[in-house]
Amino acid sequence: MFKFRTLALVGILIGLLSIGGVTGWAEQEQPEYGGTLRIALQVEPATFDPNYYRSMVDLLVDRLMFETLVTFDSEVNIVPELATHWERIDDVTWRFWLREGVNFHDGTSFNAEAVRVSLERAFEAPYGYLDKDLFGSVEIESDYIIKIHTQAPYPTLLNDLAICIDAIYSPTALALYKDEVNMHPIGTGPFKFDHYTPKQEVVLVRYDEYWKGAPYLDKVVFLPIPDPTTRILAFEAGDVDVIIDPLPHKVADYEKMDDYRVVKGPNTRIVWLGFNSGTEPFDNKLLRQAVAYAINYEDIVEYVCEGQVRPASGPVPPEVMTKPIETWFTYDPAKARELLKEAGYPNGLKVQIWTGEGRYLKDREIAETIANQLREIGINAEVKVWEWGAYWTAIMNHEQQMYMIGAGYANGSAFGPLKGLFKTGVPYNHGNYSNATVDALIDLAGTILDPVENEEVLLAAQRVLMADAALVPIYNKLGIYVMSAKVHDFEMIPVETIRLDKTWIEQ
Amino acid sequence: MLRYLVRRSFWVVPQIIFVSLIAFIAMSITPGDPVLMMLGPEANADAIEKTRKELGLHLPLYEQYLIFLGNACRGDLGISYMTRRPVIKELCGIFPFTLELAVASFSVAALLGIPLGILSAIKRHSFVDNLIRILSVVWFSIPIFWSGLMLILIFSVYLRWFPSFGAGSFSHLVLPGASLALVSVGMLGRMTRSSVLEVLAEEYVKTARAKGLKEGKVIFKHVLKNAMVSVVTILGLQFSALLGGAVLTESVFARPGLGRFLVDAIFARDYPAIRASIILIATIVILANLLTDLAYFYLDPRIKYS
Repeated sequence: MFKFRTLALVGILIGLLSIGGVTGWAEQEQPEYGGTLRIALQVEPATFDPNYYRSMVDLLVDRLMFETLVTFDSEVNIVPELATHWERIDDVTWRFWLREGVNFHDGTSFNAEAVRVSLERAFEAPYGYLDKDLFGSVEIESDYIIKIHTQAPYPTLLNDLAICIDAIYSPTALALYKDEVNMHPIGTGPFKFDHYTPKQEVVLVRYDEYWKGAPYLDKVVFLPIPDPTTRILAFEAGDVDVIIDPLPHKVADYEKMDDYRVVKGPNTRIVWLGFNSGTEPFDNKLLRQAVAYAINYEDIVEYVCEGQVRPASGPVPPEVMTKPIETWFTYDPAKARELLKEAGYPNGLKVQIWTGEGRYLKDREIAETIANQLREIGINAEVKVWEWGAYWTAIMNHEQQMYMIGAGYANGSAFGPLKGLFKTGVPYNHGNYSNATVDALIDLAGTILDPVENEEVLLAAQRVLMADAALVPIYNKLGIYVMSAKVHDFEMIPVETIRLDKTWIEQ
Repeated sequence: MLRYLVRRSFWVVPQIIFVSLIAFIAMSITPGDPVLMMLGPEANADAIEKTRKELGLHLPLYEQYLIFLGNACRGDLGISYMTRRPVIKELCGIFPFTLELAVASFSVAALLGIPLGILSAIKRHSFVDNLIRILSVVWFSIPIFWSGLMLILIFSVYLRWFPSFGAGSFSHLVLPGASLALVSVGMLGRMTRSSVLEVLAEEYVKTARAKGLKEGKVIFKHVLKNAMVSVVTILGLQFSALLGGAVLTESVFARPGLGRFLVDAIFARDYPAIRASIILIATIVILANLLTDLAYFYLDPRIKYS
């Protein structure tokens, strides 16, 4: 009798504990509705009109309110968003089927007309992303089917449609607000614009009728905090929930602490050491190569950037290609000295490395490290630190010798940046680089619609650039978002945007 | 005194115009292209040219300046390149925050610094005096971004008494106000001390004491008014400096403010915002000087303006 009662009691106890355990476990994993996510930014968005964006911060915020026909997933593949599927009919015609049952925040229906109005506006915008020489017109076939006509084969059409700059706006809002539409951003995204207090906050609220289902968060608040230390202090005090790219030594600390979650992933921004290849001394390929072999890349990634970046992979980040090119330059001081002699500088030479400060992670520190490493092989390099505005003007005028610079591959394609940076004579070719082979390859890639063939041509172009030492890639960025452990399912996309549709906060 | 006021006021506008001219010239010789800064790294050459024409930056300098003056006289200080909103609107939104921070830190600094300075002077060479003098130098020397971050660390992160950044309520004002006040307290204390000491050495103070006046009356009736002349000069300078340039405090505490606005505008080469901010700051300084001079009138009857 006694034994049976004890057994029964123990059995009931175990039963209760396991139910409690199971429900406890389930409660932790169950997304909850509600809560405000406060994100600290270094600078506030300059505009809420994506066609007129000024920097990636604008797109980061706008991505929560606006959507595009297609978009990127976390591997930078193109996936449907406001278009459900598409086909290329011939070299200059594409058909898109549009999603039905979607409404803008102001209640207007999303349909073919809305797409036409938005894409035409993007095309007219002075620095919109739809190629001025390639994009043609939008033809409406029915309420939910459109045809896009291009002036010539447009291999990166999908990429350019995916970037938030070419967002789909409510046509009602465009007609109503005209030039003031930057204060009335009305899209189809998971969050609606609530208000903006200059230099203080940007507040977005949940859009209940979002077509993927209402997001969990009540509000998303962006808070501009210019000083990086204050951002960290505000985060630790609990006044903000998410910080972006904090100081590298703090990231390692946060990774060890249970109260915080570190979301890290590839980011399509790369940083490199550039040369002014148009004049002496760096018009000399051997000298450029000498510099490339004199740099200790591992030291820079491990010690200067404290392991919070990825080693370089060539002129293009790996996410943007299906396969990156081979590693080109390694740290080989003996080879560097040989090349220096071959280049005609057996006794070394005096050069300058120009850099901004803080524009890219550790840009100045990297320039100083490179200067030290160059000194080891006999190149007397002096670092000159510039204020960004003056720097930008100076390098656009090709006044530099060596310089630190970066680029973001925001439309997930290698073509645009390679063309914009390395084609002879283009405005943003600040290195004044000129190579007929590269020009020919880039032009060729501009005509090939088959993505596999296109990539082969661009890989060939990249190999020429590296053989020529047109640039010395230093690192590929990591997107690092540090948040309270109470924030779940925060998604970051390598092209420097975030997705909060499924994000929730433990109350 | 009215005549004095009128005469001084007459010069205010020419002074402001002169300052705006210098700002104009300074910005035009500074390297850096506002259109490149404005349109971002993806802009094409056509957009750049078009924007340059829209903003009138292709015109010769003197023409640009005359257009600016003409508009300014009509109350139009231009549209900010950064925000595309009228600069006057931006400044109106920002100035209250600067004003509240300046008033808060200035009051604390004056209410603490001046009495401490007087105490220091009266008890010259005592332990109290030495302590106050050392603290003044220390407070005055601490870089404000360090003291600001330390205050945030202690009072926000550890104690959670105050918010770590931002503006809009009294509790947002405490930490930035304290870090700014700390700097001024030291300076005011030292100035007041030396000013009071100077006056204490004067003949008429000896006379007042000889007359049999109580020490308190000597200090408050005779010494202070005269000592205040130098102190008021510093107060005027301090207050106008606070109004125009608490940029480090504003950056550390992420507060909107005139200093940060001007610095951001300079980095962005936002000419209209720069010009308008400089004009505002110049006006504040000129008015502060005017008030200071009027204060002399009250403090020292020997200063007759005829």
